[in-house]
Amino acid sequence: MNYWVVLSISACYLGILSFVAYYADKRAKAGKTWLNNPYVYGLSLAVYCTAWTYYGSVGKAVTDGLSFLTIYLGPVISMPLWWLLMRRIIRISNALRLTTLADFIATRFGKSLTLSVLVTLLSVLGVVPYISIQLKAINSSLSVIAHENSGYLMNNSAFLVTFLLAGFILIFTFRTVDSTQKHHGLVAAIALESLVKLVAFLLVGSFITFFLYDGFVDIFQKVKPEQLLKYESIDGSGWTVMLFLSMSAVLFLPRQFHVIVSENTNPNHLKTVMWLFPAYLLAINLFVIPVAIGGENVLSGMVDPDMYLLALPLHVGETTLALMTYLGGFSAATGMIIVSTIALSMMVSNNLVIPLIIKNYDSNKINQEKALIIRRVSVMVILMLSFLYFKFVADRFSLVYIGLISFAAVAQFTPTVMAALFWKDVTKRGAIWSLLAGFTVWFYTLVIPSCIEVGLLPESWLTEGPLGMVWLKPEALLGMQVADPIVHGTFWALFFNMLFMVIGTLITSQTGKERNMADFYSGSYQYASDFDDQLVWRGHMIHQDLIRVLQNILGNEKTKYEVGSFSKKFGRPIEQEGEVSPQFVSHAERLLTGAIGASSARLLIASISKEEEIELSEVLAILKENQEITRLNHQLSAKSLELRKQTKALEQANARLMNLDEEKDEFISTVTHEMRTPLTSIRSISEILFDNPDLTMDEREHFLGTVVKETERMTRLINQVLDLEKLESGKTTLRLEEMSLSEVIETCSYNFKGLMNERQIRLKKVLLTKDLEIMADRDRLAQVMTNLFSNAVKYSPVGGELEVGVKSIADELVIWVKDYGKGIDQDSIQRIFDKFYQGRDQTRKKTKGTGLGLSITKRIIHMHGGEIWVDSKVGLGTTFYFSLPVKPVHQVQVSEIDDI
Amino acid sequence: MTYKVLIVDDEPNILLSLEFLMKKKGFDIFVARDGREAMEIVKKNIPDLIILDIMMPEVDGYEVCQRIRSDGEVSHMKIVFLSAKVMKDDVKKGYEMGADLYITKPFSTRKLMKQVDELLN
Repeated sequence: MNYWVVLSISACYLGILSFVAYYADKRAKAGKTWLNNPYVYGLSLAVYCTAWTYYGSVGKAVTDGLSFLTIYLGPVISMPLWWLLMRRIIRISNALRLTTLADFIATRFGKSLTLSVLVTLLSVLGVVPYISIQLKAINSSLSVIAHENSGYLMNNSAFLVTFLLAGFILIFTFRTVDSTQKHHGLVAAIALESLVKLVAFLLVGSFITFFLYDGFVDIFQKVKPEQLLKYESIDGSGWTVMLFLSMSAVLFLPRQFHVIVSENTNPNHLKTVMWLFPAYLLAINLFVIPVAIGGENVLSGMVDPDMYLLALPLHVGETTLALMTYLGGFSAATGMIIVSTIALSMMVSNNLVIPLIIKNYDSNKINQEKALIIRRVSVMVILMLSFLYFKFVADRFSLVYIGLISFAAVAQFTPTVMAALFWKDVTKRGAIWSLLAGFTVWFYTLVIPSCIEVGLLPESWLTEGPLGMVWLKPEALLGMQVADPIVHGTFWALFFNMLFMVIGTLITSQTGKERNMADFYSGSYQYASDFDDQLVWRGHMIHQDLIRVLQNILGNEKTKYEVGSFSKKFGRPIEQEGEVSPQFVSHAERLLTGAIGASSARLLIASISKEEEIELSEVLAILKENQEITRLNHQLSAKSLELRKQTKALEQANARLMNLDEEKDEFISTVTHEMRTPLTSIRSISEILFDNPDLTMDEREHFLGTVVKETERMTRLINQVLDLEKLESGKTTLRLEEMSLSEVIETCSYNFKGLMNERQIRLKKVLLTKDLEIMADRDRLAQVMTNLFSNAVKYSPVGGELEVGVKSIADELVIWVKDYGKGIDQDSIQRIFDKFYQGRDQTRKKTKGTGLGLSITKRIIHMHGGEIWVDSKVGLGTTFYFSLPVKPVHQVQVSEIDDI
Repeated sequence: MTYKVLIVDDEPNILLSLEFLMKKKGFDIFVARDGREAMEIVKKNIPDLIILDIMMPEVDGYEVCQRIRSDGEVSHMKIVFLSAKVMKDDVKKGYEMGADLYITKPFSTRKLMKQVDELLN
């Protein structure tokens, strides 16, 4: 394919990327940022998969078998840790406005300038080669796909790409000095790149697997024997080290730290990442082995295995597919370059150049514009360094080897970060020593050998050791023989790293500020709101000085806004003159940290104030006080919770009382209402008798008889109301005595004999037990039986049957009274024991009796410790059951409340 | 002409006295024990006046009143509520339903008869 066509397509691709970034920025300005979408965030993390993944995995599979997988297994295994680890790092960074790994480490150790510079230099040292291999990948893929030589430019296409990428970065980042500002457009573009490379890889992978071969089974059957051997062997120690390296890399590579931490808008997005990211890694590795096998079968010896993915479709004449493959690789490489460069340039400017300028020159030299210029120049310098490395060194090594050396470098940060978070006592000296030791050994065991290989150092170093010292052989330190130099180097570097951290920590002690930060990092406080109180500062600072510095770095408008929002938060205006409060100093320092990094901010604040060193003991005292306050707060909130509970209980009791009260009101209104009916008859009939002296004797008798009956009805009602009131208020006690149940039944049936004969009702007794002795109140039990009998007789049809029975169940006697009347419908059964059992819906049905009989009955049964229930079918009849304990508990008092 | 009066109540003893009073006046009397029965008589006999209890099984007095008022053929008839519901709100509701008169129980027979007379003439 023509070189110019490919190059223009690449440029077009960058154009589309720019458009997406531009559009996403525009949306963000309108408040609809894509960054709030956890999927966009998750995809942007796939910047982890670089050209090394894209092309290099196949190459690594060809040379070393399955070990390419370790690079992806590490992150997947470490995923559960993220929730613990990364969420904490994100919260701390958000709270303190930290934007780079250098900031993160330096801040923990008292904003140490040394650490800040050290971490930055080491990151550049570790990552520049890594960027350069992306350039190499672009360059190689270009030369594979466009093999006709187009002269000078063709040989320098990497330079051209570098140049284009520099333009892209400068346009879409660093528009304001505030580094905490999210790069909405950039992240959207990176997420898109992640999609492009995944889709491209899957496309070409399935093409090779399903079109060149007949699926996975076919391709695995056609693997060359010597290849198969490689897939079948796994080197344990190698895998362990690789897994560790990749776990560290996915978290602490500058570009990873940048997308995970600096571009995070919500720590909860990690939940999505925890499945999305592993799924992505699985998908992008799905076709690595098929491509490796296919490539080895067809192109072995003709093409660098790193380029099989691209060369295979070309080999079979699928140029369009090849072009897509190329674009996938291009996106993998550019994504990595862009994010790495941004992350590194932020470090270089904020953690290296700006603090050094402030320290060595006048602090007024730094302002907003200059900070931005420094950052932009850093971008160019980093890209230029990468290009130079590519030009002069990278060509001599495989993608994977350089990538792994980078990984080993970044892994040196892991012990420091872990200690920062989980080891409260680690000191600044310990951190500095660990990093220095780790990187020295890393350099000696992994970088020196490559320098020897390209002829910068004598070959004899490798074979006999430097100056003949055998124990110092870079690839066999202290005589250790390991086949894989990466494993060897990583082991020793980490060993010395941790050893020196422990030694440094043991022989030095923390300053007050360090201790303060150590507590903060280890999560002793809440990260969120009140850290201005938690970070201890003491000294003298003039208000105007601080404002001047803020305006210098943040600009007038932003300063005004921040001062305003701070005074709003603390509920008082900021002092216009004189001394500044420690809280505001701490707040201002965080604002400056967000813009120009932790150490720079520290130096700036120090330059305008007379600070007093605070003793460790003092810091501890202050913090203890704060913790005491926190503890008291907890107690207070526990107390108020208790109070709330009690209030709720009171409210419930009140509601219950109100309910009772309502019931009482309703009861009274129903009773008076029930009284009105007989009263009405009595009055109207009396008036008739009074006004009509000419009534016949019969009429007169009838009327007077009615008056008497109605008077009796009123008396009954009054008696029952009083009776129920006595029972409910607990004023009545039962007079329990041993008695025979059959006696009560006999008496009752005798009393009703007349009425039953009148209506030709037969009585059937069913006594299923002989043991009818029971402890009960004779009169009350008779009342119950009478009530049930009278109901049953009342509802029995003329000529019907009435059944009364007893049976013994466990230690209870169950008595029933059954009629074959019209039955009760379901609705009424629910409320049949209620007083005036349609009391709540007074416009409906009237009871024939007083409507209190069953309520009284139920009450009496309950007082005996028994239960009453009813079974009825409309049209078939009704049965009332009640139970009585054979040996009742002494006196069952039923309080009113229980019944609600 | 003789007026037709319908008395609706589920208390037999109240019916007893009302029946006596109305008969003495010489009205044509119809008696119903509940709302459903009342509606049948209303439709069949179209009485001039109805004395209506409110709390009855099946169809209550309010509903009877509403049905009468919304039926063009019988809506003109005089309706007297005679109820044990004596609260202000009850009385108000009765009038809102379209009653011509609301008398509370227990009632004065003389006053009731006088008011019935006034309503009919």
